[in-house]
Amino acid sequence: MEQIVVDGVDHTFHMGRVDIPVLFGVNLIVQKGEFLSLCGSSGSGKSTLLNLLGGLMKASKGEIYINDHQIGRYTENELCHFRRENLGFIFQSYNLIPSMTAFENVELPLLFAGVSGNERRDRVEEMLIKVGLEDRMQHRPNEMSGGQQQRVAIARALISRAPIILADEPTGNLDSKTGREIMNMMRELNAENDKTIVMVTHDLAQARLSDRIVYMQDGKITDEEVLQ
Amino acid sequence: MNYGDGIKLVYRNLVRRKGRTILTALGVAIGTAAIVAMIALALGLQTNALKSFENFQDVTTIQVYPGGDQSQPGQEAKILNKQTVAQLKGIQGVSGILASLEVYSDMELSMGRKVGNGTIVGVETKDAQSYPFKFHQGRFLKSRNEAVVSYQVPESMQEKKRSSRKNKDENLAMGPYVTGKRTEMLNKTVTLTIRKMDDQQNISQKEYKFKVVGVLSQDEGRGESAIYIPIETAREIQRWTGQNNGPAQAGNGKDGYSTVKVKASSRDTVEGVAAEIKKIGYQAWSPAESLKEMNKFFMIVQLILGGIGAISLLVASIGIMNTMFMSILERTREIGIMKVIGAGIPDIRRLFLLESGLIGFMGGISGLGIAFGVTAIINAIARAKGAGNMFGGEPIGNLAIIPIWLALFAVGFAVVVGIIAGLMPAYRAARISPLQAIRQE
Repeated sequence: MEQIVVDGVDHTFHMGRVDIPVLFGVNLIVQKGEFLSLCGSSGSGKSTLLNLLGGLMKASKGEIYINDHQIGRYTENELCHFRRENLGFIFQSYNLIPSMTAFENVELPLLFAGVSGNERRDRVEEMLIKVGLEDRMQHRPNEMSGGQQQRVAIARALISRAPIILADEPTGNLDSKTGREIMNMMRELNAENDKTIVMVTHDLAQARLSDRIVYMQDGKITDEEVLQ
Repeated sequence: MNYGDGIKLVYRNLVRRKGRTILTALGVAIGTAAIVAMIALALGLQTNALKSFENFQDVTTIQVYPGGDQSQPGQEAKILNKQTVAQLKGIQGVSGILASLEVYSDMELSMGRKVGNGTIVGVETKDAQSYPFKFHQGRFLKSRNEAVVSYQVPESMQEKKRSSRKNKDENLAMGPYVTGKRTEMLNKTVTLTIRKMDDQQNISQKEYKFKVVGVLSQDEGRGESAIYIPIETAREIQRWTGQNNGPAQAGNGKDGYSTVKVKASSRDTVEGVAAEIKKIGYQAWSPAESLKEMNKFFMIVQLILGGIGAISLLVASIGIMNTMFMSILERTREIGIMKVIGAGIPDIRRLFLLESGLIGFMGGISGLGIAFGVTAIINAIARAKGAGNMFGGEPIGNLAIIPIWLALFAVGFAVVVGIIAGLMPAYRAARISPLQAIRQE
């Protein structure tokens, strides 16, 4: 089943009077349950593509369908709701809220979804145990290591049970050993929970842990490699 | 997101920035305290003034005067007579009418060795029965030889020591002579001695005897010192003395009265009754009218004082706005993250409005506390200096009063001010793009 369809997408940044085109006629289809890596050097447009998939910006041209929703037509508020139900995000810099504990950070999406207090507590605890942070629940981000913080972020991305995870250089700020742990965790998520994952990375070794690598250069998809 | 969760989230944010929250809320607290203390003071003044006023005036009594413009040719004065009383009886809300003729003459009230003074007031015995007098003792007069005195008269009775004219004049000039000692007068016989002087400076006198059948209550015609006797006798005295100096010429006619008092059935009907009397063509005055003016005046005082307080709350609201804008700057990234993980525009807006509302609420509550403290101090000082008595009369309550409605209103107002101050920042915050979340610092 085609979960993500990118159809002829161009994107141009407007910096004052200067237009900077970053994507040219990108077409991409991601199947449900697929673990896809977007690889390319910086400036290749891979992060821009990921942001377009997440509805964080709108494509200048072309259409993006996620679960058959044409997200380019959504208002900002509709996009917020859409993200809550369909997408989980993992960032290179974790993007946790520094004043909140691990528990509170993971709880936040459920607060916005209006989930009741008891159910929230159960689900958050279960999720934090799952990512191996049962003894870190009441710690704030600055009291945790990078790997732990990223695991909190993964728990937060998973808590609302969205079918698609978008990850932007999830191991970029981690040492190689921790990076491998996080990658294994993502692999497990993909295999066990049938989550569709789109990951941006410039680390080929990690990209090789996914199902398929799409190579980008200068705003175009140049090659792709299906892995066993 | 529901409001309970939102408030918890917001509360955490406020606690996180304790110093700033306290300072911002302090501004609101001072504003609220200023409003509450000012209005409390105005309310206290009003309550005390009204209480004092009511101590001296019976607000349900309307005084009726002759009407018509006598200076205009062809305009006949509307005099007070039997027809007047009949007309007044027809007005709704009237519970009693007292038509009377006051006689001003050289007189002395005596009882055994004691003498006192007062004003002779002749009343229609039949009409007066229905007038709702309040009695200290006894009842109203029914027959020719009965009299009723007002509360002050028994206090004015004292042993006759010097009978020099000069001294007696002084006593008269001082009005009711209050010694605090009351002479029992009920069911005793008193003598009214009337004197007149003819053209040859010869003094002649005439005596009338009455049995005192009633003493009016203290509430009745405050400060008055009246001796009520049947109107027939009063007319006789008037004729004998040839006195012609009543307040209204009409009072000296065959069946005229000098004053007519109308008692309204309640405080609420007074104004309507007074208006009706004026419509018929008489002049009417009731203390209720002054009361209305007084209330209007105090309403203005409240508005002015409350307005002064409101200015400080306005300044505080600018403080809230400033704090909220600062908060947005600091939390731009956080807001972006929230939007990425599923917060809608209304969610963000609500969070910020709750935050500014909560600052308003905390400020309002502490402001109320400050106001209670300040008014307690004001009241203590006022008591110490005896200012509670500034309007005279019996000792009155507090100088500043905070009724429950004022307390609730003040806190509610502080919350509303907080929310209004948060509107612009909240809308600005809700517009922040989720892209802010992924922007690297």
